[in-house]
Amino acid sequence: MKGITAIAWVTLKAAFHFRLFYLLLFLLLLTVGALPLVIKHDGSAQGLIQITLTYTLGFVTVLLGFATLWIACGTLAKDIEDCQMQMIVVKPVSRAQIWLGKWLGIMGLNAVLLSLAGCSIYGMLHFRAKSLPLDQQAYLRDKVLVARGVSKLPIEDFQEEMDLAIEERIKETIRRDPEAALRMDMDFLRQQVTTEVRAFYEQVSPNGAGKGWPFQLTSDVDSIRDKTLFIRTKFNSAQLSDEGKVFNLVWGIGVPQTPEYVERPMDLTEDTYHEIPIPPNSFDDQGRLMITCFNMSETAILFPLDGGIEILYPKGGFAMNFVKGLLMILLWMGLFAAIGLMTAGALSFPVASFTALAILFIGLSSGVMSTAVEDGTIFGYNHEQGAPKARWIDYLVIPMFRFFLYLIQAVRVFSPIDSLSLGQEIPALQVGQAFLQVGVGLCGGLALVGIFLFQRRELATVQVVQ
Amino acid sequence: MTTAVSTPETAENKQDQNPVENIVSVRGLTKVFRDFWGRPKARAVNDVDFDVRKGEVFGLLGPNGSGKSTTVKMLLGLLYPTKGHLEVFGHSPRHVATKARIGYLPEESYLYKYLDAAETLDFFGSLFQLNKKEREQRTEQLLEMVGLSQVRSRVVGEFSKGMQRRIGLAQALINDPDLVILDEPTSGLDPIGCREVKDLILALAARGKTVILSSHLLADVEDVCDRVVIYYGGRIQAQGTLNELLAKPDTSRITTPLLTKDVMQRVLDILRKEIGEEKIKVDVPTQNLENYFLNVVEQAREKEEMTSGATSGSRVAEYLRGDADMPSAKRQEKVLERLTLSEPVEIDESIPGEEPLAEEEKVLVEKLEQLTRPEPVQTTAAEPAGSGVQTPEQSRGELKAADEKLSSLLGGSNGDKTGNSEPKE
Repeated sequence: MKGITAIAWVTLKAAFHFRLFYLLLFLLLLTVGALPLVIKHDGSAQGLIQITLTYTLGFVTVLLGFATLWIACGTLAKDIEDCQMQMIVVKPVSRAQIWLGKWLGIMGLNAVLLSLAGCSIYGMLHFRAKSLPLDQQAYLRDKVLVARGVSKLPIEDFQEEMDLAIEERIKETIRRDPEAALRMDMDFLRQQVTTEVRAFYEQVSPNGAGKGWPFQLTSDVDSIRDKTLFIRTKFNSAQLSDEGKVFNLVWGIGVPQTPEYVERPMDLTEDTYHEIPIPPNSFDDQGRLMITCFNMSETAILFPLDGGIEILYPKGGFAMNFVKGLLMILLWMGLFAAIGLMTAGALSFPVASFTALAILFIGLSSGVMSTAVEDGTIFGYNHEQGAPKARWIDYLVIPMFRFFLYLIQAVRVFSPIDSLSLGQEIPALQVGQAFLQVGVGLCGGLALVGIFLFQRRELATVQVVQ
Repeated sequence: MTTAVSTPETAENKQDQNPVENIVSVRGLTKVFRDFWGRPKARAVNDVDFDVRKGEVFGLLGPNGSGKSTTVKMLLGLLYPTKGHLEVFGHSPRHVATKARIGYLPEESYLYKYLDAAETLDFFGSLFQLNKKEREQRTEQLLEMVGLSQVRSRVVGEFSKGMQRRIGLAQALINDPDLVILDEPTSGLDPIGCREVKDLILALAARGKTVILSSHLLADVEDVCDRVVIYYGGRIQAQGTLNELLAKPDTSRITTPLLTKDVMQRVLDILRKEIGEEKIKVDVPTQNLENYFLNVVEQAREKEEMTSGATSGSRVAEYLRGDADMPSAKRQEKVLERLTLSEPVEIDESIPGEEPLAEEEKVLVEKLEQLTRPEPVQTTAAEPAGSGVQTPEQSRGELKAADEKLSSLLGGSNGDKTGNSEPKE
């Protein structure tokens, strides 16, 4: 352990010696201080949050992420190229310890920088909030600078239902035209059935039709008694041409035909998050709450199963939530550091940096990969002519994309900036899950690959003339 | 009166008395460097065999690019052999725990330039799992030893090359290693530093430490090594003890104080009678430049002239001395024994201040007569440069200087400093 901490200390010391720490700190503080001055908000609490929290914290994350990647590549690759690594590996420390020491050093640097940036964002947020009108200050206090628990709909398993529907569709085609059944594109059929089944659960028909959702709130019902809860919703029109259209919806809160039941008519735009207040104590003693939506417009609307409708309830303070958010960002930094060190253990500094950046861009361009995976081919899916036959390269690339997407999803699922901007609680369980998934799983996997590559590398093939 | 006729006790002789323990064992070692496509580019080391025994100073000699540094790097696990077998302390060079017994000084300073001297030693001490107190103690002693205690807070990047060698040497010794691998240890050092490093190597060897020295400076190797291998083109061209490699068995050398014309004439008459005029060579030896230089600097130091660079190294670090409880005289004897392995033993039978010349001449003639008899005579290993006939004053001066150096190396009190004792034979 002494060896690991010594290497971590030297890595940190280098960051201070080369003024990297001071430069990064300056840039981070400049971001926190200057960004809200450069981009003016609209005077609303949401605008302030958008700039002071979402943009600033996002920018800090990006800046620190790139710096981490670069530092990780540099600290190992340059040590190997400048031969300092020769002096370390001849001492009784394993290469795994050296790798971990470097990682810890970078993480130490990140922890300090992120803490300082976080403190300044927190301070700036409270300082600038004082300049808002009183009603906006109240909005900020109630909806953002809090940690609100989220109650979601249980995730439905459509698999069985889909299998039945597909079977039924095939039988019907065989009855109608046996030869056509032989020509059926099974992938297309599956896609079609999935859309139909999902639509059944997501859709609210037009002209006054309604759909109800039962929510189970927190088990600690007393903690939310006498407090205002919110419905958070985001829906889409079933017709693509309705972009930006306003829909007249009536929200029923509570069990219909009971004295607590209330209705709230509202005109809402599609594809936007809306928060609708729920009168206190609308839930029953077991913490159950019934929400109904009546679609008074002439077009069907869809509430996505994942995030289309949620109930928010007060759960804790913003400060602790903010700290949990920073912890999750630190885990992302750990991942970037592991990517950088993994490439630097095997490649020279410029090549390692390039490779690490390429990995990052692959991660950011997951949309292309997920389309390819959905289509089953990297050559694009022609919906009119049917999918082209998968070529041999698809058999190689698609599973690889699927694996990458799985890894990317494992990271993306933890998005603390969104949660903080929406005043949504980051549960401790989620932080723990992020630690296991990102910190242990992904970083651990990258560490194993990185240490293996570093172990195989001969360190005296590079000679430096001083 | 001083006469030099002896056969030095070599490492080889000592091994006859004790079972040999191999610290390093190399068999069929081959290293081929390949290009990006895996095609052979250069065969740096080619089928090399050698052993390094416990307690010896082993030299790897060879011109640039001969494969000695590649061998050293394979011994340290920095390069992996293409073929062959390599063991250090009975393990693969990549065995992590074994590295705790090795100290390494590379040919260039590969230290972190932003750490100061004390931080550098503390950092490497941490890698050896030394506790804080031990690290502090050793750091103090090593900085003192290599003459950098006055610049302990200066970052290594500001050091001159010589100072970087010194701190490099100190880090190589922080763990009190059993095997010290030194790659061109005197490169970049001034003559004082060179001598100190060589003295240190001998002191380490006297403690039973094994030293592997890679160098192309023949004088360094000759001064300290018990055995050497000579590389050329990746192969070992010659190996053995310095005596085996350097001795001229068909030549004798006699060293005496300056002879009077009469005595010289008589000696030459005897020799001419036996071996003929043309095979005899008589000259007056000069001392070597290193000794002369060190004397000049020593005199300047006595006048307390200031320097802004590294100071002359002090006593060997206490923890490296190890046998600190050994009586001072015995320790000196031990190091002297090492120092004289490749040089004639100077037998000083005189008492300072008294020089009974007539008796001296008598003894000389008797000894010369003995030596010129047809029976095999004891031959001496050649002294590095110009050693032939020495004056008693020169011999005494050199012995005194060597003794003072040893006293400072071993840190013991020495009567010689007060002029009351004689160098050991």
